[in-house]
Amino acid sequence: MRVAISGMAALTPIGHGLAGFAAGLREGREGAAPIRRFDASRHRVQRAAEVDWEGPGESPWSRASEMALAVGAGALADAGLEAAELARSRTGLILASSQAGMAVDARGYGRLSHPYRQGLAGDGLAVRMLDAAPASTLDLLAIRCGASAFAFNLSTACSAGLHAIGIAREAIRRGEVDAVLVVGVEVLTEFALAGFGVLRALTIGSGPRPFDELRDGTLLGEGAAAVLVEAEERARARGATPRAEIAGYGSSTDGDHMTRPQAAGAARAMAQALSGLHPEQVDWVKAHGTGTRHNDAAEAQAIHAVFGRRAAALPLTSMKSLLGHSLGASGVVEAVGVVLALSGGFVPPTRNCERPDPALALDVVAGAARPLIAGCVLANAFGFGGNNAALVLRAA
Amino acid sequence: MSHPTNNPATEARRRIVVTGMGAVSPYGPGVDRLLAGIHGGEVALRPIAVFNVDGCRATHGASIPDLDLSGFDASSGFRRAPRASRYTMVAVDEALRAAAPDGLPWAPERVGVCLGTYRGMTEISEMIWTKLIDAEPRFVPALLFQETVTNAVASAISIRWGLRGTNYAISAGNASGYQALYLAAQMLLTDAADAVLAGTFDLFTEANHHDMDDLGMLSPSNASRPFDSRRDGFLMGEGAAVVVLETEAGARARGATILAEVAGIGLGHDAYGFATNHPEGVGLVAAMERALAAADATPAEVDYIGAAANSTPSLDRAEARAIHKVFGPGSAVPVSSLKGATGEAMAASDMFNLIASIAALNGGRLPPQAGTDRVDPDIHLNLVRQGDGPVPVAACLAHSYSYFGGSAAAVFLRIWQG
Repeated sequence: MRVAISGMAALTPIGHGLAGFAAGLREGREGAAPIRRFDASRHRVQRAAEVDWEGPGESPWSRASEMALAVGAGALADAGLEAAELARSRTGLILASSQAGMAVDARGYGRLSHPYRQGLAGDGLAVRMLDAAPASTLDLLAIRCGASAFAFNLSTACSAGLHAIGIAREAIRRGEVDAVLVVGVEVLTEFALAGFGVLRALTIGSGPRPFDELRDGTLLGEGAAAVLVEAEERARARGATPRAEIAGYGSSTDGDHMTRPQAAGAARAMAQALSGLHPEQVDWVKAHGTGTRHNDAAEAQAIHAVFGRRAAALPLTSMKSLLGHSLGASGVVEAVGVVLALSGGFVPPTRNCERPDPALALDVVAGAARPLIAGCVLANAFGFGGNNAALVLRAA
Repeated sequence: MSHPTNNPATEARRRIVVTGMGAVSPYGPGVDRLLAGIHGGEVALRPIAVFNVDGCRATHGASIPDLDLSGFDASSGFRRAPRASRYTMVAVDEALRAAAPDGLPWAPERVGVCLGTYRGMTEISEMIWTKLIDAEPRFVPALLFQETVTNAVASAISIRWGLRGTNYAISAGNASGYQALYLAAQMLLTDAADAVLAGTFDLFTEANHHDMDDLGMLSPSNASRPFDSRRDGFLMGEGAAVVVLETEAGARARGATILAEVAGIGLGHDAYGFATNHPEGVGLVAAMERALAAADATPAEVDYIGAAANSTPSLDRAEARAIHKVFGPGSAVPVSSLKGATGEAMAASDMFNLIASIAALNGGRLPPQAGTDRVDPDIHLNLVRQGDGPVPVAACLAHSYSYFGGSAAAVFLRIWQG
């Protein structure tokens, strides 16, 4: 059974809506800017790629929940699904997020999540406190989108988005559900800025510059994206146009170290995603490409292990050079980016990769977009804890 | 999870079985202690001594006692690991020893880990926020930050036992435990693994207690009495529990002792209102029906229901309505909820419930309904009473249902007669 993505939506630092996002990718637009969402003056790094989106004015929900709701509804509309049709079918829901509606900064956390500390309490606080849990964003999505076959979230750090899409594919292939709405969301928080800061994982210059000799760390980003996953045949039968086929999925764990990625684990996930295909069929690799020294080196090594001599000539892009790293959401956001590139016939450029690291021996697409003639893409996502996920997306 | 076929070999590859269990509960480490506590009707809820409860209406809860882990491991980072990782590792150790006493029989690449938790990571993230509020970002300990990702516990297990299959971590409310079980079964059925550690952990913390108290969810009378007419909220508990899942074919091939068959897992969601259960429990009804359908079973086969009721007025009523809907209003199927004894251990309650149900299949002892003495006349359920003798139990249905509404799950377990 061929499983397809039949609807998508995205809110990203380089463009909203599918057309805006596609244009941002093609142009290699820069998402990084000084942080505006909170006062970052106490932090060593004060740049990030934020999403310029405010949402409805009077919402009781967190911005993360509102972003998730917006892209969830957007993907269903893009798939041409009406509420009545949803209610009749078995639609599952998977949320990919690390922080969901968590407080944005220390002031917010102190005020909302801990009224007891300050002897405060109040009705408005209770709802906001609840919305801090990922389960609440999920519940809001299930209520708004009517998805009730199952609803859970994946919180496997930065690999969550691809894990979620992979699990959706398996559930469709096993006939358990008719469709799965996968939603990824992450907003910028002081929590993540501090945490990645003390891990020395963030670029302190004008990066991130993935796969560049001078790469010095990643850049945090925000993002929300959703995809509707269903059997290609079902999508066509109800008159929808499948946007891309999910042709393979693989996942693995390093079982070695919390924060130091291993090439062997990543290679296993990639090989598993490619099983049933020939590696020669892959036209482009959408790398995880965080821009840290370790990640990019391990990913390069894994690509060489999987593709052999072809690795050095295989076009490769890091979208995080444009979008920043939206952690749990990044897998879904970048998968939407891959599908847009497939349908637009281009390989988006990697920003800031001015001196590709010769030690990595990769064909990094930099400067300007390249044409994409055929259309089979390997997308990677790796995360804290040694989690690896890979997806093969193919023009439908 | 099986759909009957004519081919016994195919069937055996499709049957999911449990070959090991482990638990850390308010009764201490070990499945035996957990079962002794709940079978004895021993209520683990006590006045809270581990943190300040000034200003709270509820002042009781169930905490895991200090564990004597001197024999466990002193060499690795175990002692410095956060509580969630330590408890879960102790449970994994027990489950693996039961499933494979002579060492791991599987290739490391073929062992997956699926864990669920509701709020189990908040203890660590709270520490980081405290640094950000009271000090400076640069004083956040780096080794603490990496422990805040929900999959940190699964990773700690993978690293300690050298496991390299897929790790999934779910944080979607109370039903996270059975959702993790669902993903574990999916991994086995798609042949992505030979064995999966499926488990849960959740912690009783100061922040969780105060949050729930502020929200008016906790019992001001400090009593956990599921299905009782005087129930007025839940009390918090904590724990970690893990089961080892394999296919029948895999377990048989290595001569493992099979404890039960996980014959059907049903998931559902109320999709009704924020922070409230659907009054008719539609999400749970769907989950129960899906679990029965996946097991190709009828309600008449069910000998015991391990309920999710936690002493919350709306949740307990919604669950009772769901049972009536699926089993008929006059059903005499025995029902009990462990939460009268253990408190609401969130996702950890899922696996406590599963373990108690598996024990019932292997000896016929049903957990008595602790804490409840005036059954709500609106409930009409046949609650298991202390002193009820053993009964033959061939199949159980174990429930999970979020107390804020939303996620629901049910697991149909069948006795193993290999």
